[in-house]
Amino acid sequence: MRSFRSATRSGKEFEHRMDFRDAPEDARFRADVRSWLAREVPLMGPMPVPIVERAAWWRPWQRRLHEAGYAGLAWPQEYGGRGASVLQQAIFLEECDLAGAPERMDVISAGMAGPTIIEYGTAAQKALHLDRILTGEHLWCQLFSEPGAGSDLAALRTRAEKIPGGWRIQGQKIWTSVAQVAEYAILLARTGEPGGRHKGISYFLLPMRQPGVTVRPLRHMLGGAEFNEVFLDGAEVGDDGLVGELGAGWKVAMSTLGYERAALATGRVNLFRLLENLMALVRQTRLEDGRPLGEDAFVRQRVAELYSRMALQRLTGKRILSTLAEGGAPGAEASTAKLFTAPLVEEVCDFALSLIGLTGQEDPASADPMRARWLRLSYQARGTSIAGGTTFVQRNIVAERALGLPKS
Amino acid sequence: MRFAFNEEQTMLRDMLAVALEREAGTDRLRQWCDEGDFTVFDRLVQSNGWAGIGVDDAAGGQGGGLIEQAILFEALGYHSAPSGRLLAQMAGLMLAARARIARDVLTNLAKEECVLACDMRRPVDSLSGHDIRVECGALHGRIVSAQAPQADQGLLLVVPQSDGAGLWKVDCSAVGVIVTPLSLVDRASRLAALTLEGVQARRVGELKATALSDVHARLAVLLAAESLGLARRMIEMTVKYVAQRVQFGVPIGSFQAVKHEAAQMLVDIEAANSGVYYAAWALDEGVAVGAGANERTDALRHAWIAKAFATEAAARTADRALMLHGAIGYTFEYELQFFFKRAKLNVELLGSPRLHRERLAASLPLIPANDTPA
Repeated sequence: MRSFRSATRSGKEFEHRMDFRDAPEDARFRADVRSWLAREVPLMGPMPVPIVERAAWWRPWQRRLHEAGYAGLAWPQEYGGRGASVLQQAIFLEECDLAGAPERMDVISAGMAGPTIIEYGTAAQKALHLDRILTGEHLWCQLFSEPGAGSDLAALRTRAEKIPGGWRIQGQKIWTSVAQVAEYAILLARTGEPGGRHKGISYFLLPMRQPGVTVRPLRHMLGGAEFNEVFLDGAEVGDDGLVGELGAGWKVAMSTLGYERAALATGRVNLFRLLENLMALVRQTRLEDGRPLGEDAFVRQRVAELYSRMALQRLTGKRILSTLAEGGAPGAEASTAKLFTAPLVEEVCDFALSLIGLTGQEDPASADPMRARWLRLSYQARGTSIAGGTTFVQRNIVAERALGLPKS
Repeated sequence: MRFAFNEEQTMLRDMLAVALEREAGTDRLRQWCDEGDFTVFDRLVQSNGWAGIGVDDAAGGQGGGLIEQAILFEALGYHSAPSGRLLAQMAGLMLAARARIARDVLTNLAKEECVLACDMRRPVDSLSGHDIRVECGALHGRIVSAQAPQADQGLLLVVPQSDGAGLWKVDCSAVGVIVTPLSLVDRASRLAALTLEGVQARRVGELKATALSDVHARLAVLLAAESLGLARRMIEMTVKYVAQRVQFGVPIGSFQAVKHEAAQMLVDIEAANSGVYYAAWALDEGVAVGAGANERTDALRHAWIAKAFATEAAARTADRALMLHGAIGYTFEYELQFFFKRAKLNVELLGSPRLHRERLAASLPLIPANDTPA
């Protein structure tokens, strides 16, 4: 094999070279987004922590995004989206992170419910919901998990009984984020035999603001209320709220969870900013003898190690995007992404807290904002490790699907 | 943006896999190690012109760049091939190509298949503690652990001078060159102590500090790529083993304790993969003429990251592979030992992870602007 190049020598190889720079049209898009954000982000006040206030603060922001053509970037144009390429979606997120734009509250609405409705919904469902999702008028929550059906979702027991013109729902859901402020929910309920596992589950679009729906905030470890228990006691949904075939909701749900994974993989936590904040904290802190903390060999090693993993996480993100952009399905790198990222976020936050010391353990409600932020993030990171498939469940998935090991 | 191999790179990868599987399988490797004779492998390298991968066609190479070289080293790692001499030869070519050097001298160096003699314990660009000096045009000193050269090979040495460094050439067969092979647990790695006692030498070129740091970063990426290949082989062996090894009436690969360790191996490997090939791209594009200081810093940082992370990841993978194999993996007879030992060795070559992380730390804003570092 004197020359490996001769066999494929053609102009084509140059079009397909590895390249991490933006193509010209993507560079233009990035510049437009950047200048729009530079104008708009400073107009937003600080983000309120309680969720009801946060939703009220976020909705006008989403309206402005919509007016500027940045809502539903991933959605097809015929449904009011921008039909932007995968790369442009990523560019938009990157720029939002750099500009410190408000965190998304519509991960479930625009990232999961919307795409599922586009894929499986009726014309009437599309007309009713899609535009309201894009403008932020409607927020959605996800009524999937139950007290007895977490990692094992097919064990769900919530029932939908047929009534004239629709369905009556009886059951309990749990770990439901944003339910306090959501107008609608994507709901899984059993319409077939009890204990039917994957068979006999149906997928509904449930209005949340009705007497049969009771939302009871569940306080998380730090005391804040970010997720909820939702009691469905005779809640009603019309025949027009069924998505896909009756009893074939599992397939639709899997599609939704696929969108969820894509939404999570494209980065909810801005690790780059997290490392910048960590380095700022190091610069502000001094050793016992008054020297800058950044001179300490252990601190330097630890920051460098965390920085390295952050850099690798970003690169893996780019690999996933590159595959998606070419219409392929990401391989092992996508399955391992959560297992790589979740502990990293925990470790960055914990290292920051260890630099702050005992005062870092003050109640976030009374601590100064910087300390409170590290503490909240550190707890939130634990939540992330559990949500969307716990670390142990993810390892099973990687071992079985990516490595082909036998089922337990 | 595109982060994937092109057609040509995929073909190179496949061709290398076929050639190495046929010519350098584990049985042969074991035989070479037992006999302490790697001539067959060295001939395979030369007849395929692998040292010319990443070298311009015009200079007699095969073309391509660091990505292609990384593909080569990933394949070599997958076979735990005795790759050290090839690395030293490519290192020599990289340095010569960046030196202020006469064109005909450069051509000859490539033809003569010279190897770089440097201390493999240290980064190539670390000139402090360098133990070679020039007296009356002759070289004196000692390199504790260089890649062992062939008896008739030309040696290139980097010797510090007031501005940057000189690139010197000596013949391995010259009077005063003493090569003392080191005995390593990885028998396929051929290191040797090199003593020079007033050896006649010629200064063939001059090197700037930036050329040295560029070459060090490239070699770091190649070692990282080799470790990636080692790790890929080890996870493959492990998955195959645990899927067929039956205990308690079921394959042990169905136990969650086993699955979780195997999954973590893949987590490490995928991250290493991202790091190696981005660093390779960045060094070719970011250190290219015309690229700015930011691109250069980005490229060097990612090379250091790749070296530290991928070599440690492969070492972790080695331990996981060993545990999942159980006692069979701990035997001399079983082939895991080759990959395990190389994975541990690569962690230390050309500078430890600690050293590379310190370089990264030094490039990050960790000290307040008004404080000068101690």
